[in-house]
Amino acid sequence: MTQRITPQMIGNTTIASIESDMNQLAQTQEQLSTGFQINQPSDNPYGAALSISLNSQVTAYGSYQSNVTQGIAWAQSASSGLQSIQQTTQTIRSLVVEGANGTMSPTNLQDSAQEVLQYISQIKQSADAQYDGSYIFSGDAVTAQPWSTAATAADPPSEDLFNGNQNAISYAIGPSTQLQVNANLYSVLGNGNTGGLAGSTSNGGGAVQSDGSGGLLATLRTIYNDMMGTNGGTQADLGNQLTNLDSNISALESVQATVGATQDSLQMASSRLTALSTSAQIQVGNVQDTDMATATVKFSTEQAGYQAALQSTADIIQTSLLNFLQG
Amino acid sequence: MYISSYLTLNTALSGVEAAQEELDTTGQNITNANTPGYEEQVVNLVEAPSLDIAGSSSNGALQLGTGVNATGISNTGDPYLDAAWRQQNASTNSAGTTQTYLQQIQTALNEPSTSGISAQLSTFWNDWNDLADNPNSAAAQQAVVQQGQLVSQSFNSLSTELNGSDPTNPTDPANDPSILGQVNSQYMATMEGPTSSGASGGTLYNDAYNIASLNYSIVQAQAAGQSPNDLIDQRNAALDNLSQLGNVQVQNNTDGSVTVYFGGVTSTALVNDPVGLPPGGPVPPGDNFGSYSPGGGAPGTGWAAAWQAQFSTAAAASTSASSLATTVGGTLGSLIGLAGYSASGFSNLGTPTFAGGVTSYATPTPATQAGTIGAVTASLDQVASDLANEVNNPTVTGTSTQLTLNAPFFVATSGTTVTAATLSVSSTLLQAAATGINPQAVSSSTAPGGNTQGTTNVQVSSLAVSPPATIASNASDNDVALDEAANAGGVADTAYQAFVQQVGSLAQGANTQESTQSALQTQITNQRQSVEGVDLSQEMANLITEQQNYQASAKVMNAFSTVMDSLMSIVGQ
Repeated sequence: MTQRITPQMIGNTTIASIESDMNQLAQTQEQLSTGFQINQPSDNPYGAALSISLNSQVTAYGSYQSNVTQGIAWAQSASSGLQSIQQTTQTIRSLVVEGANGTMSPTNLQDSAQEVLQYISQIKQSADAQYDGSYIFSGDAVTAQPWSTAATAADPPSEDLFNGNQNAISYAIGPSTQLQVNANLYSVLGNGNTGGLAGSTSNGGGAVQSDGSGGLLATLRTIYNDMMGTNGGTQADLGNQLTNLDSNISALESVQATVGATQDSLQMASSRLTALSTSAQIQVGNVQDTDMATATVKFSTEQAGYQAALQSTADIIQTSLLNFLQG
Repeated sequence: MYISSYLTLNTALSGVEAAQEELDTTGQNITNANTPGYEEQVVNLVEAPSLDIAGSSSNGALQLGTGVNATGISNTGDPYLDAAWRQQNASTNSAGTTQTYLQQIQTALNEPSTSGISAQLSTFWNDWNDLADNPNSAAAQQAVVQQGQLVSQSFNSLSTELNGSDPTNPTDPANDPSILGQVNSQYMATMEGPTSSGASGGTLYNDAYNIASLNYSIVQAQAAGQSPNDLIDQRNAALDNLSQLGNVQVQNNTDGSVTVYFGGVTSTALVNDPVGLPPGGPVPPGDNFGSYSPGGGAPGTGWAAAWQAQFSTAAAASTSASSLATTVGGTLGSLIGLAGYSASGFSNLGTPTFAGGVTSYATPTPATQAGTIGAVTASLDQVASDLANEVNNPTVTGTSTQLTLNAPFFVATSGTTVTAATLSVSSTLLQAAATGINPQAVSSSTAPGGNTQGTTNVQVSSLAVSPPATIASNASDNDVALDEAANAGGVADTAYQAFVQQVGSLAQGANTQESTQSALQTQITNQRQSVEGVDLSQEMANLITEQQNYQASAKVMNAFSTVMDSLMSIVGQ
């Protein structure tokens, strides 16, 4: 005996298959309308977790990129500050050269000394350069003005005290990659401590000592003393200071080189981040986005199936033996 | 021996009557084709006892047929198919209920999206990064604190959506819109007993009462020699309904009643043979479960007591919630699997007594065997505690050196353990952010050499690293912010991704389970229909046969009448 098929069975089966058709259709439609193939975690649990992870990577790359941009700006400020210090120092150097060859009268030398004082103030102004409200040569004490701009003859060491520190400020420029963006200008300028360096003594090759002596500021203060003839300084000592000044200039140049290298590194990091971010975004797309072509084809197929189910249902359910029994 | 002249007439009459009954039954079948629980009925026809006529044949007695007898009308039910269908129905409803709630949990996550917790966490790490760039910017400090609080609030509200505002102190579940609250409230609505005599109770009570009443009527009818097919159909429908709620086992008794075991409770029947029931059938609330069940006695004893005992037995054996859920089956099983249970009852609510109705809830005891909601909550709590741990104990990037904050960034609003429900940014920081942060004022007292400008300024001296770094230590003033920013993609992020994947897998499993069970349900429904259902085409064919039978039998009468007429006319002359 063949299995009996009752109209209720046909109804049940039809409703079940139409419902499942509808579900698939709705799901494909959701994928098409949202543009995402993962709309709930249950659509693809691993894919959902992966897409969250990739998305946060993309966000992180964006934030590294903005760090890099800030870092470049920071380095540029530093670079221009250093450049103006260098120009000023060169000007002072020519004053020293003029003073050292012994042709200048003491009065003229004293005028030059006053000029040097002006330049000291100028150098400290450049060293007080700020970026976005932060002193860039103040170590990580970014709110502290590193050097006061005062430059009078009286009590020079207290005017040249360093108010910052030598700490590094690092920016994150990639996953577990940090780069120091600030430059240590204190290692060039020092704190103006001329102790023991008056006269002809070498300043230690331009390196700032632990007591802050030996820096550019100390050299400049000594030059001032030598020009003024105060604190045991004499015009004859100026020649020695020329050597000291040159070593200070070369220390300054090496800081400039460091800043330049930092800028280069940041530029490279920037293009690397762009590449990484792009590739992460492509991956996000692969995991998360709907393949429109496939989905559209799938949608049409499912739609056709759904319509066929509806049509055949209408045809089958309409007919029974009843249709053929006439009074 | 002579044959009665009217034998033929009687034989034809039995044919007409049988055809009449068959036509009635076919009519009944057709009109009830779509009635739930209706099983196709057939008239049981047997040949009428034959009449022995002696001596008219060399072969001995001649047996003369005397027509047809309709001995009764039976339905085509197959108890095994019924049982299989109910088992499947329980599984389908269980899967359906689980799917519904898991979908809700999944929707509450709002992932993957640009506004879920994952995106908020990304923004949070981003804000730390901005702070690292501008350690003395008040805006950047405020952003960190506020985004931290936003993340906290998202955790809080997700936890509330899962478990209600205070899972340890549930109020009336009907007033609790959380997912656990809805599960509790569905459980209550199912298990509730009637509050007064004659009143109706929860779904389970009503189904059981319905079956008990029908049991009683069927026993009465059968004792009176009737075959109450319609009542049996109704009882079948009631049993089908009951199987939505949990696993049903039906035992047929000789008096026509059924004994029903329900929800994995095998020691005590939910509905018993109505022996000893007072005249008039069961009277709510006591008569169907309490007073005549083997346990007997006061309301709340009998089946309800056995149901309650099932929890304590399972708890003693450390049966997992999902395993007890399988034993119970149906919607109730699914609810247990979702909410978990303890020795004293379902979820963290006591079980109400059947007869007393639910007027108050027992002292809550947290589920000792956690259900799905509990497991999901535990994972979420883990993410929250990972986050707090990670932020409160920043590690210097690339090293294992830990910086110690003077005061934690994240705290628990109550208790000492940070959970999703209690995660919050410390109130000192929130206050500092709300009243406005003045970095200059603070920095003048800490600079130079403070290595924690980024956080020192926010904290108003509560978040500084300790001990304060000196110039020689070479720590930079944005290092806390820098280390916090490096937590992007760290422990908390990974834990959260795993959490999303866990919920996704659960929901995906529930979806698959639901569609599988639905497909099986359709199959077995069809199988049952094939045996028990009404096939209209067949009924039409039957109708024609029966109509012709009727006409033929009438024709026999007609022929007999003609024969008699001719006999009478001879006699008359």
